Amino acid sequence: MENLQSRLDETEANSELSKRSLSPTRSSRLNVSGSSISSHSGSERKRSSSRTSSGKNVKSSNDITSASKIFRNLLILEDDLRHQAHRQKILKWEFTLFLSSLAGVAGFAFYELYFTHEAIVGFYRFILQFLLLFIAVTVALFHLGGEYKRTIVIPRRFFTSTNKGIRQFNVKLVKVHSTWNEQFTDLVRFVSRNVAFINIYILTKTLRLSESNALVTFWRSVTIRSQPRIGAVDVKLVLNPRAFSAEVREGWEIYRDEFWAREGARRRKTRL
Amino acid sequence: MNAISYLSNLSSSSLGSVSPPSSSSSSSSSSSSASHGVVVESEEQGDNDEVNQFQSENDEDESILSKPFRLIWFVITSPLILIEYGLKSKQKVESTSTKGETVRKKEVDDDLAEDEMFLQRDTIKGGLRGKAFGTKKMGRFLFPKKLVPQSIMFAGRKKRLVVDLDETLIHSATRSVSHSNSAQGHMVEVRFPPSSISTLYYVHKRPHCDLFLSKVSKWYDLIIFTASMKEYADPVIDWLESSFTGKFCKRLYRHNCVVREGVGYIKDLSVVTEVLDEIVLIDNSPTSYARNEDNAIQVEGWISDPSDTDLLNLLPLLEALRYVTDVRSILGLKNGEKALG
Repeated sequence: MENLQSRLDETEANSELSKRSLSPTRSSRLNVSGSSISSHSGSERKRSSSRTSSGKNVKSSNDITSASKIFRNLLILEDDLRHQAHRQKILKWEFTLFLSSLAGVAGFAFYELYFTHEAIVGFYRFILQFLLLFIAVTVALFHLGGEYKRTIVIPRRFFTSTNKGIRQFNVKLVKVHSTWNEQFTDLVRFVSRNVAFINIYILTKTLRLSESNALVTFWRSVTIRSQPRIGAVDVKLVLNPRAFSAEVREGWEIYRDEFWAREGARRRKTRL
Repeated sequence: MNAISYLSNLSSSSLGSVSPPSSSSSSSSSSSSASHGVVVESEEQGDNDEVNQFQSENDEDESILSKPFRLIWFVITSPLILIEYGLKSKQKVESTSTKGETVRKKEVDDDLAEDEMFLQRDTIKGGLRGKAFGTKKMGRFLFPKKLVPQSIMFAGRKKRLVVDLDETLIHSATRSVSHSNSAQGHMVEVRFPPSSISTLYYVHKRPHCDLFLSKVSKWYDLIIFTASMKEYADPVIDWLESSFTGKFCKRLYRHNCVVREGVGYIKDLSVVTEVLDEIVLIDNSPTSYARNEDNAIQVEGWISDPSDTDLLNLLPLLEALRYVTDVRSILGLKNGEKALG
């Protein structure tokens, strides 16, 4: 009982800290949503301490921990699966590009050798034939060595395969499609971030300006403001509606969004 | 006045002088320290040294060629240098006063970073007309400071993965039945102690078994826990170990299982470890994990299907499970909402 009390007190202290660390936009958003954080922190503390005094509420605090613990672990799981999906996507694109460029070169050589009116002779003919043979052998080895399966087939089936594996735990991995304005924002952020990085590099390395220079500071603030969106922007885990009620599923979505909003605020703050 | 002398110093240093390197460096550094001793410090000295080195390495002709370029460069960059000078002098005053504070702040940050399991209390209110969300079922939400605690991320300690043998990784038969994936399979001769009669087993690996084991052995400490006899299991495990890069840390056999009459052999994970939040069991039989249901991942039992991909399908899940704080919170979700308490 005492442990619980002390733990709750600690938790409270920590929440106070986090409230202070929230960015202005974040706190105003929370205020709009109804949890008056800054103005009622004192009354909130009072309420929670009165709660812990009764046995019934101690039990409910155990429940809190269990739901939060599960959601937290789901967040970790989701984040790792997101990284995996991203990795597999890149792998697939890299090797698709590689194979299609090989096919392009092979097609060109084949056309030059057998479909043109002028007869190809001499060294050029030898080169083309060598190229064709070389590509044929490469592709054959690529397939026989299992690389085709590793780099193209498995990444393509990533979502199907993963979902078969996690189905027994009543969760599902789904793709999130961005709207056009989100894509546009991503593009703007990407461009401005990279422009800022290039500028910082030129200013600090080539022009040898110090980190505290006004221009460098400005571009640093640009990189902070144009960080990529985080959270469930491309891939997310959803709970199975057959196993979980709407309340729990919505709770999970809220938990995730709130965590990533806090995480975003934290990152912006730490990089400043 | 200071700024002008700063600029002139820089111009003399960056343009380079015709006089010998040693004299130019001494004159510029001495003049700079005389004009504003605090501001222009070691960095500028470093610049001068570099210029000198550059001069001594190159011929006279090259310095004549490079001079105009350096002049142009200096003209272009002079506004920036002036800005830098202004900021430097301002920062110098500030940094001396705030140095103590920043050190202290860093210590506090480090403390918080270590305290990973510390969850924050928060009042989340959904769109349900200002009503506190989920107070009945889920209570209040607590948020971690960081997604993956550093104790897990950087500890270098792996979680443990307990794998079953028969019908999960391999299938064995006493006679060579017609297998479509491989003609014969691996032959294992087993001699049980009481009778000296030896039995020949034909062992077949499940599809993607080697890939599965080699990947998983990088993420987890592998333990094999089989309900079979030691005499039979050991040669099979040896054979499996020879075909992938990792190793099994521990082998557990039938005598490590708990026997329950009429039910079968139950694999109690407390034999392996007392800490059940970092151990995962993969088995095809629900009886085996009856005592540790929240630690188990079930796979379909495999006998002969050559197109089976169950082991392959588990890889993303197992890779992602490496960093969770408690595997039971994820694996317990197989019970649906009961897991939420």
